[in-house]
Amino acid sequence: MLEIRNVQVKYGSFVAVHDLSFTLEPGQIFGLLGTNGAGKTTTFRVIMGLMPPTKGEALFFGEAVGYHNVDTIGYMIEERSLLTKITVKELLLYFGQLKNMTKADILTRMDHWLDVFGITEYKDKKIKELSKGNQQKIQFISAIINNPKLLVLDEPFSGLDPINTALFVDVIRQFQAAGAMIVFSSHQLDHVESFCEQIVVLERGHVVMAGDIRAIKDDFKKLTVHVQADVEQDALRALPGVYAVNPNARGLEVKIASDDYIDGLFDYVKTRTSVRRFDVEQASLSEIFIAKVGDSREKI
Amino acid sequence: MKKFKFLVSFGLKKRLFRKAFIITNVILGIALVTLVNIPSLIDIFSSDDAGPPVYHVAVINDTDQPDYPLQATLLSYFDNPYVPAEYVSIEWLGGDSATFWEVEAVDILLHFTGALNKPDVAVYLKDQGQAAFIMNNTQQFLNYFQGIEYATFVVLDPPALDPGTDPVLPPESRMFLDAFVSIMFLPMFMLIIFATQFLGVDIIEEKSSKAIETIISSVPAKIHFLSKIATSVLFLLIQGGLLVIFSILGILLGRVLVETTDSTSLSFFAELAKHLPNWPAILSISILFMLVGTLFFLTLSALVAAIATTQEDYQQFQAPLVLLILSGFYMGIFLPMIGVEGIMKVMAFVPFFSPFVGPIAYATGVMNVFEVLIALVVLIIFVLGILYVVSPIYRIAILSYEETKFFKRIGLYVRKAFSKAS
Repeated sequence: MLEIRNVQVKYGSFVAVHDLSFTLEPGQIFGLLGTNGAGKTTTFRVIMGLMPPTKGEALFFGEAVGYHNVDTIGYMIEERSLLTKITVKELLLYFGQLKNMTKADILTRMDHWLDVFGITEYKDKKIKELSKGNQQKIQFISAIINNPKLLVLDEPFSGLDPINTALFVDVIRQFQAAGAMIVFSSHQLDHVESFCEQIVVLERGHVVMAGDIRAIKDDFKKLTVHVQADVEQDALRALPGVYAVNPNARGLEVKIASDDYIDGLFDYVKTRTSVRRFDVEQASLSEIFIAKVGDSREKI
Repeated sequence: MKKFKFLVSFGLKKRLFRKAFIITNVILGIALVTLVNIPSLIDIFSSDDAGPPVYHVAVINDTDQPDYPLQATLLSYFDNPYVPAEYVSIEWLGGDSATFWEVEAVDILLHFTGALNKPDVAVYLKDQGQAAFIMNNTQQFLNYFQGIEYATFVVLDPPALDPGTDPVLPPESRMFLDAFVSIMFLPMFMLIIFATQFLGVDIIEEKSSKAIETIISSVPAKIHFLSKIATSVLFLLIQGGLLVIFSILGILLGRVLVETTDSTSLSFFAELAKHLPNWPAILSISILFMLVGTLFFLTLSALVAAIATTQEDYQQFQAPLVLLILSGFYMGIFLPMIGVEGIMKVMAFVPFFSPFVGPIAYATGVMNVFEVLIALVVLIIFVLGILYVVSPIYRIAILSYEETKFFKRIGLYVRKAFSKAS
């Protein structure tokens, strides 16, 4: 279990993370979201024991994270963090042995993961000879080579094409199924929405939203209604509870303040002709994120 | 400890099995073998007419038979293909060895006194290596012509010079000391520069590629720091050992070249031992200063690399460090030449310069063993202090990517390092 308890990190007078708390059980995936400079990487550094918090604590199965228990944690940082002048095999042997693994174990797992990611032929190539996508795969393999109980991934999908993203997601799912805890950050909120159970949204070090994704979405009252019919946009805007009408390729996207206004909207649409679609949808995580972060920016 | 050992072995493998290391050592090996054999090579390629140097010999007959043509008769005994001699006549009104050294026209002076059938012969030599040869030939001459009793020889040492005019060494010994400095300190300087550069580049490579975050998440920064230093010291010892092997190979090759067991290189070392009889002490002290000095410069290099954020940054920051090493090296070479004893003594106690100046001050007699050992202890204490201070700063700096100016940056890291420690 990973417990982050009232963590605060200060750089001089600047508060990078303010009173952050969350708990992660084995088999759970946790999303840490926020704009650039929100405090995500600082939080990851605290989790990894690279930075002692000014206040609070990070506990990994009840113990503070330190060099005595860090060998069962996998860490992938946001930027490429590879030694480019050595080969893939040398690099994985290097990082693996730093996790106290034996050479034989590293080589077995390396062959497995290189095969899974379809890059076996690059085993003896120097890192600098690899494409960015393949470097990203190597960095990911270096984070999972020790079969971690806790996987900390800072922007794991950044720069990946959809096929490789799906591959990464699949591997993360495998670790989740095996009981590993996964903490990750991403700017691609559709990924977070697709497989995170819990999230924390940080803005300038402050928690602006936290908890179960479904609960967050349920709590967020605003809804989107997709309408395809011969309707007048101005008439829609005039309806109570409607605060935005955006045309798109498939009709109109009507934003309403809460589900109290669905009936009123539907009553209007059904008076029109050629009604082909009336579809009510919860706000996406992206919309919630923009709304919440936008609000809190003004407050913080 | 396991991770420390692994980091050291990984670092060593990374350096030793690089093409750059192999190419550098091939070039160094060829250069050293060539350097060691320069005299033999000159002999091989010079014309046959050019023989060994001609000695200018003067014979003063102050015996009971002053009219005996001693000089002319001795000629056949001294003039041979190996030690060609040419006789010169000088006015010798008697005097000491210092007076002899002032007579530039003469290399060997034989002063016969007493009875000619049992003379006392004072032998004045500028090249002490010829003493045995001179005595043997003189004795043979006396035996052959006179069948008489043995001569009594006194070989006079080089004159003791006035400390006011030349405080250090007589010219011959000075020459050998210069040679010793070149042999000992140039490779030492090169090795320190190599080691500090390798260390710095190694650290900045890991830091600028951000691989350091993955590494420091697995091993403490202190272990990383110490492993880098240990790797560099081991690398330096291996590289130093290779230089010694290249020199020995050069000497062995020299023997083959001159087809004699008494090679020029070996005779050089024999001469060195004769002119600097305390060379084992000089060598030991030099090696000690080199090891501690290297540790000192490596620590500073690691700090500079940890403070830098990019390769360009590092190149800029390490320039003052290279200048410091260079200053020490030049002080070691030039201070004895200008004969500024006081400054040399002071510099031998300044840790930035003492790795080079300390051994030279001892070799030239400016400092005695006791003084030079104090300088070494001062250096060791300073290095331990630097290690103690640098280690926590390194821990902070290695994971920080500040872009502020150097001194502001280092000030920030120092504050962070010691505020956390407290």
